[in-house]
Amino acid sequence: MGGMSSGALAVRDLTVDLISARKPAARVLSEVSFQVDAGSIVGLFGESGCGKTTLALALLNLLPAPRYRVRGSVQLRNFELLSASESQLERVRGAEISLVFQDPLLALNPVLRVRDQVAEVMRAHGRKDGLESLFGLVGLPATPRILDAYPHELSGGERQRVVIAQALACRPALVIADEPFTALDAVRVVELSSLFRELRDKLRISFLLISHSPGVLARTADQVLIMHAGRIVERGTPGQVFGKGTARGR
Amino acid sequence: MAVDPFLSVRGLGKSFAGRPAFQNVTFSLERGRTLGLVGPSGSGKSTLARCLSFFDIPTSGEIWLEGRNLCALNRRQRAAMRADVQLIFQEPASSLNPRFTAAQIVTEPLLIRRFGTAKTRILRASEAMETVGLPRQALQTPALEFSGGERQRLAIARALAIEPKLLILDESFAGLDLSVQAQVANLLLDLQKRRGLTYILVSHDLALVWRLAGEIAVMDHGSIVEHAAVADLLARPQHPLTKELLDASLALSLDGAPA
Repeated sequence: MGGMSSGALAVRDLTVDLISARKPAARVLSEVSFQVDAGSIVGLFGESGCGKTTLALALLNLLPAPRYRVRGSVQLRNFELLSASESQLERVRGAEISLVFQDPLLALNPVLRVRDQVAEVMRAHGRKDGLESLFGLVGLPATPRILDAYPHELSGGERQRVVIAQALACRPALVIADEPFTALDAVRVVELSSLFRELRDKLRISFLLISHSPGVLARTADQVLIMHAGRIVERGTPGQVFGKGTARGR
Repeated sequence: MAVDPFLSVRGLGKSFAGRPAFQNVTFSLERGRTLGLVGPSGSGKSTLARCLSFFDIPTSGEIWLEGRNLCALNRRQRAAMRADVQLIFQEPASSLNPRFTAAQIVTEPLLIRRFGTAKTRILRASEAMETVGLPRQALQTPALEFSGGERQRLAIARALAIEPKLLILDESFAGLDLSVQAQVANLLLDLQKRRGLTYILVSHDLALVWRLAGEIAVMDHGSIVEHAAVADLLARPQHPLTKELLDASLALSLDGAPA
């Protein structure tokens, strides 16, 4: 058991079955164990359908109970999430762990200005710090052009920064980012990858970064978990798991 | 007699309520070649793709395909040439009716064009399925039950069934796994070899485009800022945006990663 010292998140033997009335239960995740240290970025790599997103939802205890059977342990700073009550979970979600999704246009309310968009999150969790410092963290100027804009008026990179600002509003211990760079061009991906590492170093925020791009993970993550068919089949530093020079074209 | 290029786009532009999405776009493309169209989001790539396939009507300029100016055609004539140019969208899931079977999806464009009989349409559909590497038996399967890569194949099969000459792929690889991307890329190369298809590949992923395209046009703020053969573009990028995109793509390749 021992050795769970400075972990922001410790997952042990997480097993998830999809229960169906007519078919036998299908195993979606098998005995997944890993740890995310405080102030580190763990990458999760795998093909679509291998269980990456299910894992993200299971960590937040968001898989609906009769349909999914979840066993094992998910501890955030030594607090067990899988047996927590719904009101305890509400305090954890967004405040201690937050989620960043693939498509910022879907994650943002299209009829709210950026200012209100982010203020709403802070209000919901009773935070009163200024928007300026929050926007400074994610490298967005807190100017009227940004603050008074509607999501569609921003570029893709700016939108994803607003979503990250929302995710950071409560200074969570852990950010789960599920394919956050997919809709962006390479220049924006490199910028946001640097932003993640900056936030890790400055605020000691931990990230679980889900991606199907080895290049993104090699650049961003400290540790990489490789998932296949619901199991973690390999783990190590990006150099150890991807090797060198395997995916370069010309 | 001078030989017209297969596709020639001259001074093409499209504005929405007076605001240009792109302007003064000029390029030509030979048959059986692939043009990669790259640029940041919002640079006008997708609107250009939609105009080239007449999902949107350009506000200025000309599109010449095999010596005919498509912009000068009337609606009826344009409908007839639509089969020649097919657009494949980004998200295969949302471009397919989930309640249709594969057979319904692939035969739909044939039906709209009143092609042949029900029997010949199914025959054409099963040929198209085979071409993209899906089993004929899958014709009766609902779209919902295909995986992401299979859906993208299905979208390609639908486009191929009416035997187009030019295929425009708008971010058709986004969201697919690397292994599936490679499969679809190989499929496209193979089809090009066998049928002499011409492609325009729209993507913000320069790394993907340089594997498939012979030439690349870089778009920024609605204009083509650089257009060159792939080897030249990689060796001697001219425009700052091209350099920036190239540097970022290299940074994201495994070699460029910090140790």
